[in-house]
Amino acid sequence: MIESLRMRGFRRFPEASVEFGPGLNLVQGENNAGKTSLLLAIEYALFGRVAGYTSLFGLLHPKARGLGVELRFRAKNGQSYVLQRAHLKPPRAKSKLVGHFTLLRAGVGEEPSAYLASSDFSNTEDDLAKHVFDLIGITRRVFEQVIHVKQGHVTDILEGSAKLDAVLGVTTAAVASDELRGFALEQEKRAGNAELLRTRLNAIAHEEQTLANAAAEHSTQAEDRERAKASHTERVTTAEAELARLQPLHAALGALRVAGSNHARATETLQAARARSQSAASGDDQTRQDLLTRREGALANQTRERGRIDDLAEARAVLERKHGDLSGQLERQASLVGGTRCETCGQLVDAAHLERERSKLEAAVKSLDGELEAAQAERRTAKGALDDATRTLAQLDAAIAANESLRQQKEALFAELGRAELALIAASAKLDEAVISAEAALERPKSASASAGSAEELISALQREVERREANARDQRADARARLAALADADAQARARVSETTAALQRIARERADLGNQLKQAESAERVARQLRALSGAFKTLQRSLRERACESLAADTMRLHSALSGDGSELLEMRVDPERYLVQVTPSDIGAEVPAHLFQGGGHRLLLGLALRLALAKHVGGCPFLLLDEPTYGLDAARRDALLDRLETALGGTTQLLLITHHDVSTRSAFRIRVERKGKQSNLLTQGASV
Amino acid sequence: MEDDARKLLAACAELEGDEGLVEVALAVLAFTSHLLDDDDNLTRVGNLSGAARGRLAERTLELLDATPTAPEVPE
Repeated sequence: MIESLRMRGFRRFPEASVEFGPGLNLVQGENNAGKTSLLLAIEYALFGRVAGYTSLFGLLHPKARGLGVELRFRAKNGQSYVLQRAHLKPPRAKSKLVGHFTLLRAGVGEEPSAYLASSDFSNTEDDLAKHVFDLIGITRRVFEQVIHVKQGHVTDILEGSAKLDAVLGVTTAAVASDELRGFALEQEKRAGNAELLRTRLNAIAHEEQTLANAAAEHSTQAEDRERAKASHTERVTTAEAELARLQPLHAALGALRVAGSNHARATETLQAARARSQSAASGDDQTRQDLLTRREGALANQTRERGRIDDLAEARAVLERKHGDLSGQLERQASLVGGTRCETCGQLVDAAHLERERSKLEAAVKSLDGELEAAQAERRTAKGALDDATRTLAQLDAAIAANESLRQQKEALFAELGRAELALIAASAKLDEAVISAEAALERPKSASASAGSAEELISALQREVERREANARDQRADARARLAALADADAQARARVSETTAALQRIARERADLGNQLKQAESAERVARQLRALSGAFKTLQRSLRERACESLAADTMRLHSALSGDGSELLEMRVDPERYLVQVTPSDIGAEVPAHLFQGGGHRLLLGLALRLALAKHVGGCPFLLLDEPTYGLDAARRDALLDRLETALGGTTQLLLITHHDVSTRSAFRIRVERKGKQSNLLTQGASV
Repeated sequence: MEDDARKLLAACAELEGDEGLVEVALAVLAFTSHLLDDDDNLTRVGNLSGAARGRLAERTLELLDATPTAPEVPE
């Protein structure tokens, strides 16, 4: 219900306000006084525009820079609200109006007003329209087609109007049906590849399962390889430990073997040396005896030769003295020449005698020379023999010394041999210990050792055993390493395969996620398309149902209201509203056949019928809090006009506020009255309140 | 009239008694009606403009996404 209206700069109203009462409100005034402006102001306030006015400048008071309307109304919830709307010219603007609106809940008592929507708070016209619909249940179409009945258009509705579709919801259903079918087509296009996506996803799932199986197999194989690697690593470790254990044993056995060999050779050498020394001992003694004997002989020879030389020296000395004597004699005789005297005796020397004596002396000298030479030769011989004897003696002394030295050396050798024998015995004991230790290390059965002969053979056997075991350990290690290398290769290949599988799985996961999203969208589109199709079909059905039900309802209500408004009983037997065009068909009692209402009714009847249909339409639309009727009584005589106004409120059940404009004098009617007066170019409002 | 529309829609075979879809239908109708009430949303011949169609589509899809649907049959 509209409670009040304030206008400023609206058409001919520079400033005006009016209050309305419940029920019938009569807006009276002369023609062209500005009555309709009230209804336009209400429309402007509610919707910010007025049907038929393309520009709000047409609503602007000529001297005003803006227009404003404040509409106070009571909503369906019983509370009062104030809707303020204004359009103002900005400074220096000539053809532009800037609009503002504010909707607030009116304060009651101490309760202050509360804003619901305002253009100053970024609310839009849509927001305001929604609030208006929520509060009073009307839309702009309903306002134009149902609530606001314009002057001279009361009976137009009898001719049928496709515009009724709009207020009956048929247009809405039709548009919604068409649009949603279009949306459904778009969604179906989006969902077109859903089946393909499902097929592809199934294939991907199969491929993914295959890859997952392969990955599981790779994992199992990797575990097997890890176990095998651990086993082979242990084998390598064991073999290396065995080799490490055998290596010193091997070296020890090698050394043992060398020691054994050396021991054997030393034993042999020692035995040979002992044998040789024992055999040489007796020979050496004989030799020494021989040498001593020979030395004695040589010493005797030396002594003899030395004596002989001495003898020869004495003989030589004798001979030399004789030679001297003779030589002296000879010289003396040589100095004696015949006839000379002897110096000794003084006698004359006979030359012949002298010659003879000289020859004898010379012969004696020659003989002595011969003897001397012989003695000399003999001496030389003796000297040579002495020298030989001396040399022989020296040689024998040297030989004896050498023999002595040899004897001493032999004794030292014997001592050395003794020590060597002791060392050999000790080495033999150590060798035996080492062999026993090696056997223990090799854990050989005693029977094997027992079967071996000498220590050397035993060592050789042990060495062979060690070498066999080393070879075995090396083989084991090489085999294990080869297997580890093979496992490493297999690992690398497996890693490559796992990497490929993982990459493939990741690719598939990405593809699946992508396709899943696409399928989700496609399925969502399918679902939405199905729903849109369903909604479109439902709206199509609703469209028919609304129209048929509306026509049935309108026909029945119009008959009832027409009868109520007529008061004197309806002249109509039947009424039908054509669902195709909303053309009203009536069956008048005087004709008895169905005829179009707008052709076969009188003016007053058509007006009543049209008014009844409009009221029926308002009832059908439902919840109209007020109706704005501009000159609905036009064309009625005074009696029918008064009767109509009397019955109108009653026919509506008293729940709907009526703002009825009339320029007729209806003073006899009980109503809330508003008078509009015009003074020059301005109009004014006078609220006269309820009156009878 | 809204009650009538609700009853009629609920009776529609297309909606199969899906109350959620009936609510969506009512909301779509209300929004369509709201669009039709504004001449700015209409072409010269009275159809919805492209922008209005877009808004209606957006609102409809928004309403449908918010509507619980029957659980999908697992593959």
